[in-house]
Amino acid sequence: MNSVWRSVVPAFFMLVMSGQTSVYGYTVYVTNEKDNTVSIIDTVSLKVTKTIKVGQRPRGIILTKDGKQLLVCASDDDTVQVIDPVTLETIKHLPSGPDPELFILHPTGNPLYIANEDDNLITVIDLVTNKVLAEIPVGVEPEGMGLSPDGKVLVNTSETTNMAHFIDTSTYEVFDNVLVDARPRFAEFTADGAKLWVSSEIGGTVSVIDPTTRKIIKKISFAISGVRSEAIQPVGIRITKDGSKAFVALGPANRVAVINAKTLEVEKYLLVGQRVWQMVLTPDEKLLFTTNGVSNDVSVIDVPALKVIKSIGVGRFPWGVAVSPN
Amino acid sequence: MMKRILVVIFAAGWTSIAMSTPAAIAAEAKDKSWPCIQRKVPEISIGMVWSGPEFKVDDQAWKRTEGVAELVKVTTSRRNSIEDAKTAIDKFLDAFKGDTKSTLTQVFTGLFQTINGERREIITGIERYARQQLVLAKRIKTLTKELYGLTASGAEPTPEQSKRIDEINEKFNWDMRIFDERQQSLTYVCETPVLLEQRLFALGRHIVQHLEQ
Repeated sequence: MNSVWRSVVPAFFMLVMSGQTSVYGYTVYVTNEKDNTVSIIDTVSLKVTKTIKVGQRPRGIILTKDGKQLLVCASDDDTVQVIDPVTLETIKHLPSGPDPELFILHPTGNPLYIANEDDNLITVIDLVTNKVLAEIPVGVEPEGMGLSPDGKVLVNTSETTNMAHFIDTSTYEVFDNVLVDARPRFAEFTADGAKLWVSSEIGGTVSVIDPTTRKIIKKISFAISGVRSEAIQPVGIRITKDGSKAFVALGPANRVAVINAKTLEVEKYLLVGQRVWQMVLTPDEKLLFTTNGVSNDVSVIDVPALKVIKSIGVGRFPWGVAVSPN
Repeated sequence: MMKRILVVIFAAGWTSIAMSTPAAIAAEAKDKSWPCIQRKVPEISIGMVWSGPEFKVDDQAWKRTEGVAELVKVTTSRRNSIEDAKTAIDKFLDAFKGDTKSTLTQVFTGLFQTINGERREIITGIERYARQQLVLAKRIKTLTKELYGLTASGAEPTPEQSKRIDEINEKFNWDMRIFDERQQSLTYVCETPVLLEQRLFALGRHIVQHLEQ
């Protein structure tokens, strides 16, 4: 017990002294696309505690709602690997369909919706029975996946068709499509379900859509002094639960844009790492972790202070990032 | 028998060239002079690597400030790892007394000019290299065509033709060897602009962290 306190107390004071506002310990998992590994980061020490081998070309990563299963898209193995976060052993593989890239869980924790990039399909899998419930045809190169908070509407973006497809999760039917700017990569609903944000990598914009009318409310564009406009390529989006702040990863611009999610105005650009794509907020929303694919690191942003507080070296081509729920 | 050998050489030569010519490697690239898989980024934009104070890109003051030119030399040398370069910056600051903000901005100005300049030279070199490979590929193509012309009929070659076939074979083998060796080197050289950009970014971010302390 004493040894525990000897390590916890100094860590707590170091965090307080450094101005860092998150002292609750979560675990962050990062897929390293080129190394076929997952780096595990402790959010108190902000250090990699372990690196584990996974399947080939790991990209999307997510934890089940109860935190008991870690799901990894092993894209080149055409499977989703299910890992026990405690033992770090692979429990099973899910029949994901070919080239799984990104996925999302229903708000109840089941089923899982997987974007199959090569097959232009969304595969729906029941996590309990391990069975494929449906295969939904969508546009070319599906990737981004957003689910309405009530779980009734799944939105998938197709990179080549440049559309956000609205899918009824009870019928698995596409009931509407919204044309957005070139190469949409990510879709994220606000916590109240009132807005849907879709990033367009080549278009360089984020479309904010009213999910009820399926009309674009605003297209947010970005301009950074000293950065060529073609280098500004929005990908990952995260929005705080109270709907006040949104963060957009700008790819090779090496920045994360901080946006007032109510006025939809950009407030700040934070220099993180090279080719920033995916991000995750800790459940207490004190820290934001970004994966930087070219500088091979993860940046940590102090959300209340809107400051980058650390970069953590991980494997080669860090891609996806997930955080434990508790 | 002779014909079969030549056909094999012919086919192997063509396959090799078809698979590995710069044009094939950069099939997606519009710029045919760029042979790398990596996207061509001719210049690094300041905003992509630096969030510190603004500075003039061509400002030469860093060369005159005591210790800065030496620090730039050490930190831009690829013989030193990025971690060693960061340590050199830390040590410089430990011993430094004066306006840190202005001096560190000068250090970055020196890093930016030096690394961007080196990158530019490498990119020019890669393009020159690619052009030479294209010339060599064309020569190999001409040789194989001539060889095919001499052997296509299947008839026993005359003594003059035999002599020419031997000459072509020798040239062909030599050119292919050079072509393949250059192609292998290109894989490494193509990585260099990206590695330089990584170094500049890492050092720029390290300096900004010092400035924010």
